[in-house]
Amino acid sequence: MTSQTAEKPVRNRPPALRGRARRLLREITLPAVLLALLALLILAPVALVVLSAFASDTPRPGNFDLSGLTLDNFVNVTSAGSVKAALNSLAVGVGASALALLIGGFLAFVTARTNVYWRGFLYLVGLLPMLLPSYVGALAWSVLGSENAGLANITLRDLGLPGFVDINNIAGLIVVLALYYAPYAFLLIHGALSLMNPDLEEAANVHGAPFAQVLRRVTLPLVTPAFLGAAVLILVLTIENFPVSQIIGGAAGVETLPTYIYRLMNSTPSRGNEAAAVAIALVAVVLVVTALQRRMLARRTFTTVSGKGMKPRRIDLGGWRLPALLAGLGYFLLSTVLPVLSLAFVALHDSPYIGTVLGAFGKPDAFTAEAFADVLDSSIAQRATVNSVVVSVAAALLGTLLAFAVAYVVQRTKLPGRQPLEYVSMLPLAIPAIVLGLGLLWTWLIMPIPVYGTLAVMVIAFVAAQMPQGFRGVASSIGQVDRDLEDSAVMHGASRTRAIATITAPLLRVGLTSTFLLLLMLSMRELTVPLFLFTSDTRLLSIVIFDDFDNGILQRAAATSLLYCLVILALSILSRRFGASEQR
Amino acid sequence: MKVDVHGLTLKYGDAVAVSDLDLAVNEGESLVLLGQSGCGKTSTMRCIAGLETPASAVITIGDQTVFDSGRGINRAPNKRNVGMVFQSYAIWPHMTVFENVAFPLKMKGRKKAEINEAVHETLELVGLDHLAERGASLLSGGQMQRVALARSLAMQPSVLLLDEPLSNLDARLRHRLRMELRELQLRLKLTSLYVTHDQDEALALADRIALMQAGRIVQIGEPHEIYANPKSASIAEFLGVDNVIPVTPEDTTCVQLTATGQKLSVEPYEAAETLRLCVRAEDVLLAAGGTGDVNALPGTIVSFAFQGSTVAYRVRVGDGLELDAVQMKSAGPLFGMNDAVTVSLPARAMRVLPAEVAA
Repeated sequence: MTSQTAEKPVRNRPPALRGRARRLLREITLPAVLLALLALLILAPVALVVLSAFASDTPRPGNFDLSGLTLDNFVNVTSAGSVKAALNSLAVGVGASALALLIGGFLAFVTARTNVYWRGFLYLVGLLPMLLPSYVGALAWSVLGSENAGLANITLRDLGLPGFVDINNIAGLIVVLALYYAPYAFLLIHGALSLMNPDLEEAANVHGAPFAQVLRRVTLPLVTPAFLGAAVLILVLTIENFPVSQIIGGAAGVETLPTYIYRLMNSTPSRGNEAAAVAIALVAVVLVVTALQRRMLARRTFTTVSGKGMKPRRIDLGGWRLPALLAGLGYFLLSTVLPVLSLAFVALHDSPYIGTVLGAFGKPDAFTAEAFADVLDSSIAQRATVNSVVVSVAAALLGTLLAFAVAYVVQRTKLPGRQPLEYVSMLPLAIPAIVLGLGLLWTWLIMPIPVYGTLAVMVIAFVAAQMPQGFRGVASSIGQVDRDLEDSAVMHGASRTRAIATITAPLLRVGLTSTFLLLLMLSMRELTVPLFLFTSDTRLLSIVIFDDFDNGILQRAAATSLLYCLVILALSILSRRFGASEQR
Repeated sequence: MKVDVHGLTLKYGDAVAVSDLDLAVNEGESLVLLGQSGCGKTSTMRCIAGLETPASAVITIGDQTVFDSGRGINRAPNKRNVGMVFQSYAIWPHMTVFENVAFPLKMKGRKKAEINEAVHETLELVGLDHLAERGASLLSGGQMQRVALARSLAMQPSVLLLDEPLSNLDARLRHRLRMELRELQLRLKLTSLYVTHDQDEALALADRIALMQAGRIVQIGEPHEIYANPKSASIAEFLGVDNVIPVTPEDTTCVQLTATGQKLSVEPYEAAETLRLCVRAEDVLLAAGGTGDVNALPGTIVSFAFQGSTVAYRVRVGDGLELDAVQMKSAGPLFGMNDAVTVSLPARAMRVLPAEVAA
C-alpha cells in the first residue's frame, strides 16, 4: 500500500515538489500516530524506570525533575541483599527451567512419538496446568506443602508417618515454578516433534541408520531449536516471575529480584529509585539470556517443520509403557490434582484451623460451602469480578485493534517506520512484568490525563503489557492471508479502506477472534502488572486473591481461586475452539 | 484502450527493478511481457495497475493520465478501471462465485438487476454459469482461474492485466486454457497486457511480444519476428536455441571458435564486443565419414538420448567444446558412444549475435 488515494493535479504551482511533499506527509501520518501511541504505552514507562534509576526522586504528579541525577541508587544494587536476590533469581531460574524442560520434554516425547498407555490423556496432562495461573498453583502448594500446617504433612501424620514435605525453601520454589512452566516446554517440543516431516527420518533410515541412530542423529538435532526456544522462554519467565517467588519464597525468606523490587516499593518510605535501579539489573539479566538464544539459533536454519498433517513413526516402549504412564500421572498429581483438591479442602473446611485431614471426612459437619457463599456474597469479590471482566474485555478489544493496525502497517505496507513499530511492539517481552508495572505506575501518575486510580489505567497497562502477544497473533494471521486478495479488491474498484473492511477483515475473522480471546485470557490471569496500579475501587480478581492470601484469609482466597479457575477454564475452552495458541 | 508508459523507473530501496522503460499497448492489442523471473515484468505491470509507485514515469490509459511523477499525479488503483488476473487468482474464499464476479460491479454502484444480468452473462462466457452459487473455496484451480478472469471481464476494464495466470495449472489444462484465452481475447478485442516467463505461452497469446531483461525491454515485435531474429545471444538462449558458443571475429563472413580456434564461415553479422554463435540443435548435421562441407568439424559422440521420432546427441568437437545435435531417426545411421562423426554447421542456419543487447 504505497499511496492509494487519488491525487489531483495541482495547477499553477511547482507541482512535483508539492505532490512529493503531500505524498510524504500522507505516508508518514499513520505510522507516526501508531508509533506515538506505542511510545506512550511502552517506551514512556521504560524510560521512566531508567530515569528513576538515576534520579534522587521518583516521578510524581507535578514533580518530575531531572536535576539531581545520581548513581547512588546503583550502590544499592551492589549491596549484599540485592546480590543475594540476583543469585537466587538465577539459581531459581536455571533450576526451574531445567526441571520444567525435563518434565515437558519427557511428556512431549512420550505423547508425540511413543505408544505409551493413555497417550491422549497424557497430552491433556501436559496442557492442563496452564489453566492454573502460577500464583494459584503457588497458593495451593503453600497450603499443601508447608512444614507444619501443610495438608500433605498433616495427612502423613494422620497415617502415623513422619511429615517430610517442606515447600518453603529454594528447592520448593524451584519445584513449584517447574510444575507450572513445564507446559510451555511441553507445547513447544510436542509441536516440533509431531510436525516434523517424516521423510527426513525415513531418509536417514533408508540410508542405513537404525532407529536409535535416526533418533539421535536426525530427530533430536531437529528438535534443538524448539528445545532451546522453550529453555530461554521458561528461563526468562521464571526469572521474572513475581507471584510464586512472593508466595513460596516469601515464607521461606528466599528473595528474588522481582520480590526485592516489590519490597523496596512497599517499604516506608517507598524506595522507588532503588527499585528502579534493581529493575534495570533484572532487565539486563533477561536481555543477556535472550541475546544468548539468538546467537545460538542464528548459526543454523532449521526448515524442518512442514506444517502438513503427517504421521511420524512411533517407538514401541515395550516394558516401559507402564512406567512412562506412571511418571506422567505423577506429574498430573503434583501439578493439578493435589493442588486443586487442597484448595477445595481448605475452602470447604468448616474452620480455618485444620488439625486432621483424614479425620475431617469422618466428622458430620466438617464441610460447609460457607466460604463460597462468602465469596459470592462479598461486595469486594463481586466488584473485583466486574472489574476483571470489564478491564479484560476492554483491554483485549483495544489490544486486538491496535495490534491489527500495527501489524497491518508492518506486514502489508512499505510505509516508513515499520521496523521501529515492530520493535516497540515486541519490547515488553524483554521487560519483566514487575518492571513494566513500575514504569506504568510512574507514567500515569505524572500524565496530565487523570486516569490514575481508574479502571482505564488498568486497561492501558494490559494493552501495553500484551502488545507482543497481540502483535504476533494478528501478524501471523495476516501472513496467512494472501495480499493479492486485498489488492485484487482494489483493482476491481474498492478503495483501500473498503477492501480492508470487505475482504481482509472478514478473512481474518478467525485470527482476530482468537487473538482477542488470548488477550482476554492473559488479562484475566495477570497479577503482576496491575500490582502497583490498583486502588481500593479498582481491584481485580487476581489482586483480591493475592491480598486475601497476604492477609491470611486463606479460606476465601482458596474459594475465590477455584471459582476463578472455572472462569479461566471456560475462557480457554472458548479460545481453543477458535484455535488460539496459548504460548506466551 | 491504449496504454502508454513512458520513462518508467521503479526502485525497491536501492535496487532498481525497472529502469527508464517505454512501452505502448495499442487499443485491442494483446501484448505479452516475456522474461525470466526477476526481470521486472511483474513490477512493470503492477506500476500500471497502481499497486507500486514508480520513482518516475508518465503512465496514460486511454486519454487519462493515471500517473505522472513530474506533475504529482497518482490515481488510486481502484480509480484506474484496470482489470487484473493475479497469479494466485486471489479469489475471495469467503464469497460465492457470483459474489466474486459481482464485486467490481457493486463497487461501481450498479443496480441489482443489472449486476445480476452482467454476472451471469460473464460467467456464461467463461463456462461457469452453473457454479454461480458455489462457495469460492470449493473450486478447482482451473475454475478459480476462470472466475478470476470473469471477475475482471465483468468490470469492462480499459485494459486487462494478466500476471502469469496459467502458471499454477498442470500442463494439459494450461494448454487448453491458453487456447480459450486467446479465443476470448480475439473475440472481445481486449486490450491486454500479459506477463509470463514461458516462451511457448508468449508465442501463442501475443500480438506482440516485449522481451524484458534486467529491468528493461530488449526487444519488441511480433512473435514470428522475435522467434526468427533474436537481437542477442541471451534472447536466443531464452527462446530455446541450444548451442550458444563464444566466438571471435575473423572478418565479415568468418569467425573463430574461441575454445578451439577452428574457423567457420558465416553470413554477414554486425560487429560487437562479445560475439556468440547461435545454432539450434536440429540444424547441426552429423555424418559418419568426411562430407567435404565448408564448416565441417571432426567430433566424438559423448552421450545420446532416444526421443521417439528424434535422437539427441552431445558431440565433443574439441577441448572444452561440446555441441547439441538432434537428428531425425530417418536421417541417417544411429551413432553410439565414442563414435567418430563429422559435424556440419550450415552457414545459413547459424547466427552470430552480440552476447547482450547494448544498453
